[in-house]
Amino acid sequence: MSTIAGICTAMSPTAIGIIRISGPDAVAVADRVFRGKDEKKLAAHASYTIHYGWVVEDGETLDEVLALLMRGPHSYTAEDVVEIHCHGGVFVLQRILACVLKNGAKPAEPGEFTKRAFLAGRIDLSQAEAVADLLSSRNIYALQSSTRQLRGDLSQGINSIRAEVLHELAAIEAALDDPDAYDMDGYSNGLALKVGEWQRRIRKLVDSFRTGKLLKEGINTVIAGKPNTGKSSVMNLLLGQERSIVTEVPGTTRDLIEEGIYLDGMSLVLSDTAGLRDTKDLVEGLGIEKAKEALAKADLILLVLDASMPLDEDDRAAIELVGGSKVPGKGIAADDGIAADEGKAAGEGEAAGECIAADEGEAVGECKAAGECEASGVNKVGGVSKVGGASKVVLLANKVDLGPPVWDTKDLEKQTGYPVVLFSAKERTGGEELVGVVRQLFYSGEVTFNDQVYVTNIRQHRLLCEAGDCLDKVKQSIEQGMPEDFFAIDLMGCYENLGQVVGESVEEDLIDEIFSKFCMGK
Amino acid sequence: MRSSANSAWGNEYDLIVVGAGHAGCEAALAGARLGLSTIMFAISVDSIAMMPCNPNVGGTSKGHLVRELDALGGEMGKNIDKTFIQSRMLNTSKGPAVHSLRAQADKQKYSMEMRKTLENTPNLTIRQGEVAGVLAEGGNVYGVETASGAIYRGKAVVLATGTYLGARCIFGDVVNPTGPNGLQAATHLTDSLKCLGFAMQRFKTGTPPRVDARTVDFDELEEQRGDEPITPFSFSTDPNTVQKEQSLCWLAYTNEKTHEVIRRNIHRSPLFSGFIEGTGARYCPSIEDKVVKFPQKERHQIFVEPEGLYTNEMYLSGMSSSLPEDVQVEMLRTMKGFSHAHIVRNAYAIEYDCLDATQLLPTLETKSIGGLFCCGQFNGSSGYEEAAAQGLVAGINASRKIIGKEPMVLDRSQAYIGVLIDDLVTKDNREPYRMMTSRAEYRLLLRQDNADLRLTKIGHDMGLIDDARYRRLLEKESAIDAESKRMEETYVGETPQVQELLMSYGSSPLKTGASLAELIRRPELDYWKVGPLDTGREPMHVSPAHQVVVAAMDPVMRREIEEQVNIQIKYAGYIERQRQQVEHFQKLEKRVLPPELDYTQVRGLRLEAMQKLNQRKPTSVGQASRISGVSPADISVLLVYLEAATRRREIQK
Repeated sequence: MSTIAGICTAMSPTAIGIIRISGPDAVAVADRVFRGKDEKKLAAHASYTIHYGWVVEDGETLDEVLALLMRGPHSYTAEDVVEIHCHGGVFVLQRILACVLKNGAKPAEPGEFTKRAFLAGRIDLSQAEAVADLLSSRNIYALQSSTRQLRGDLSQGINSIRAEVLHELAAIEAALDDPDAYDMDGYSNGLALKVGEWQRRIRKLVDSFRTGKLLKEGINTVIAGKPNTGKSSVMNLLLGQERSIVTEVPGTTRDLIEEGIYLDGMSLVLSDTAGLRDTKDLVEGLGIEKAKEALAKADLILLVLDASMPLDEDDRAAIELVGGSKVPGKGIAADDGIAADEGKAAGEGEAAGECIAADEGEAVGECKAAGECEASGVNKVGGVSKVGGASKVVLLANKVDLGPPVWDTKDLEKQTGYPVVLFSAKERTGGEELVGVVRQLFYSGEVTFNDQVYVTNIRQHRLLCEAGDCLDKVKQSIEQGMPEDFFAIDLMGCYENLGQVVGESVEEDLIDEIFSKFCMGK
Repeated sequence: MRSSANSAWGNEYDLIVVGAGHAGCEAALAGARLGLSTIMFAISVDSIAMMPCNPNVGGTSKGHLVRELDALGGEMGKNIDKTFIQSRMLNTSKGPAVHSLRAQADKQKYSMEMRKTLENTPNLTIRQGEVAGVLAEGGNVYGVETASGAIYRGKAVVLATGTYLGARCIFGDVVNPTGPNGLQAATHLTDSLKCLGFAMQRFKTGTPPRVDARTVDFDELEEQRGDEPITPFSFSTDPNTVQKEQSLCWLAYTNEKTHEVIRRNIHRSPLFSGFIEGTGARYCPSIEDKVVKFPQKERHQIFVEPEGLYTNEMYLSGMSSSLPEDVQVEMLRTMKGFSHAHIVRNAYAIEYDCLDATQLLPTLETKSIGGLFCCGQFNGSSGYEEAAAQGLVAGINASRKIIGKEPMVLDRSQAYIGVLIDDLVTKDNREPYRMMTSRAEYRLLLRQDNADLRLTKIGHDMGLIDDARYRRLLEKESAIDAESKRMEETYVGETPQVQELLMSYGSSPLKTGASLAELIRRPELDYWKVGPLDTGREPMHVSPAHQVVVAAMDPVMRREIEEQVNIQIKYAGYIERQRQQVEHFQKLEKRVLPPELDYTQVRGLRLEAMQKLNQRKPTSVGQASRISGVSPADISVLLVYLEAATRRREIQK
């Protein structure tokens, strides 16, 4: 196996930068570029020691550094590792890396250190996936979630369910092998209770995927409404800057404009859309089509209404449209969980599209040149999982600076079932209420990210759903009064699926997973 | 060895089978029936197919083995059908996957019938004698040498030495250097095998006392009767020929007094005093083991089973022991019904040498010496049925090797036999291996009732199942398909007759039309219960493939078909899920690992895994994953290595 090197810290001006070298020649390569103050080679030092010195190239000192020596197998990659801690300038980092590469190391592929750690058995699959997620975290909660997974919290939660399932399997098997010695009377009642408990725990993890994904990728938010209700002003206000063209001419915004914002701990990806109305203008019509597509994929729709004008046909059509886009999604993925997820994805093109987008997002963070690998990853998840489309809607009564709404907001809330927030883009009011409503909608009012494990990975989500399906079948068998040996079939299925999440059961498909995550075979 | 003159006798055979127990008999019969000149060695010709321990065949999962063996062309099922004295289907309150047939045997008759079959099989020679050495050269076996110095040349050798190698029988402080039942032990072969480089281990098993039936008060015991009607083991036995009067078995219990006697004398047990070196099986514990390990249990079950029709000896199943003779008598007499019981034979433990079976390929051929096959208790298993199953596989594969054909390997999704052999040659067995239903992952597919459907074709391909029997199977198969299809396609409406029938079984009435199959799937109904609604059932359909009118079929066949249709329809959902599990399993089974693969070159394998893999050389990634000490992470590493190698090769192209 080759010796690899890469920059492990952000490529932006920071106080400290780290270059990691890993592989059988890591120490030798480091010794070629590092001059210790004590004039000794790193090779002569014990593992887990830190050495002060300089990186020198052709007699020129590049930087004053600390070299950390960690010999395998007790290192991150389980290989010999040397880390060079230098000053954090981008230029310095790149020069030192170039120097290291010139002296015998190969550039590390994205995620290659983690790949090596995984292959060495240092971390399990869910931990490796957590690293990938960690690298592409967009906000603090996503980061914390990945960190917890890396620490093994998800594995722990799953392993505890597995252990209990195994215990029941053993009880059933013992009774089958020695029917004279074990009495199974009343066993199924007790089992049904346990199955219910496991289902709750698995359901919690499955449900966390939705939140986990929102954490990881942000809430996909679409601002919609008929023309000239102030959508772009709302967007700009939320963004805190002028982005969309704001004019008095209705229909000015024709392309989607996307921007990520960070709203009091919640990550939102905002899109402004063309105003929704019946139009003959071809360009504007295209914009409206795009807006409709965006609505179908949205997690959150902010429907902007002009509070200073009575609601007209276009307003009603817009409300109906977001309601229309809501019907197929709402209640299925969000409320019915496991079983519905699968059934639904089969028929819906957009669902598959969404999954692809999610998977690509990961691939980009970890593995830019995935090529064929990526394709296989996408195929696999394409049909299975669907989280978006379950749009939640907030009605923004804009322009309240011109006076209280001319229509009854309570009445509108009752008719549509959507909350109304009084808003003034001009006077910058209503933002806090909006934040409160969004938090209520997505996180049930709490930001409970601190101690919960979130499933953020599609593979894990799929396997957990399958484990849940197996338990449903166990429950069915119990209800139908089947003999105990039938319970074992689906209990084993559950056990295996859970095992695959943490890598305790070998999944042949794993190979695709690994190759898509880690760019192997090049 | 003894006399060089003997070696000039020039005895030449195709196949040499060492041992005439349940494994040896099947191996020798397979060889001879496949047309090879076969010689079978027995320590004593009087001990052919002897049952030195329990007087029955079958039981949970073992019954499956016998039926599979039968479907492949083995003899055990036919032989027990001729000689049983009581028969029961166990676990009938559970699902069909775990129904298991068990028959009490007349031990003498079992042995004699098997001997008669062997002696009337062409190509088969029986020889009394102790084989002392295996002869091999250049990595291939070429014969055996007997203790008397005679050399027998053969193209393949099957070792089926059971519990005879270096055997010692022990109770209390008495140690007899004999094999089972006081027969002569085989004292030389172990050394010969060690010289050939084989790693051997030492196992222990035990047997309970036999008592004189005249001294037992049966009216104080619980009676256990056989089934009516009786289901035969062999698919070729006509059930009408086995419906006969059955012997009784009884159920007895130990009590606190029994346990007190054991505890008071436990220091005299050779197990605790260290006389016994071999490892015993946890699941087949002696009575003293049970009392020590489960002190909270107030009583243990003891099954009282006749050893045959022409003897008073009763076998006390569950009471195996190696306590001294006087303690055996004392504890026995504490039990209800045994207050004045007389022991005919003592309980004893037996220790013997056996092979570490991880030195075998899944064909049961040794990895290091070509043409040398091993089977039965010699491979570290326990039980007649486990032995017979291996014997058949070893016999078939040794024969196929001689005639230059591909070996027969059954995988874990095909048969309990596959599970048994895979476990033996893959896992670290540190105690005698007993078949258990829990060891089979796909047991809903591996039922005892469909063993013929699963394996008859393979038996026919191997040459041990004749055309007539195979044809019958094909007929049965197509009739099952046709009848299942008819159940799916026959609809009944919500008529008063239908509703009334449903109500009578506590089944909810129909709201709309339903197929008969849908009704059969209801837990409270089955194929037979919906019969009155099925106007097309008499006469049954013509099966187009074989032009057989099922209605004209004999009632036996018909019953078999109905049973299969019922199971296949009723449990369709579960069966389908197991099929999917099998598909998943086979993905790793199909990833072949070349024997020349050097695992030290696979970076990332943990040291233990690397050593185990290099030593075992598993044939597939699936097998590798079942080796203890090889973790899922190691398998991931191995998969990545193989995939990367494949991709490299593709790039080079």
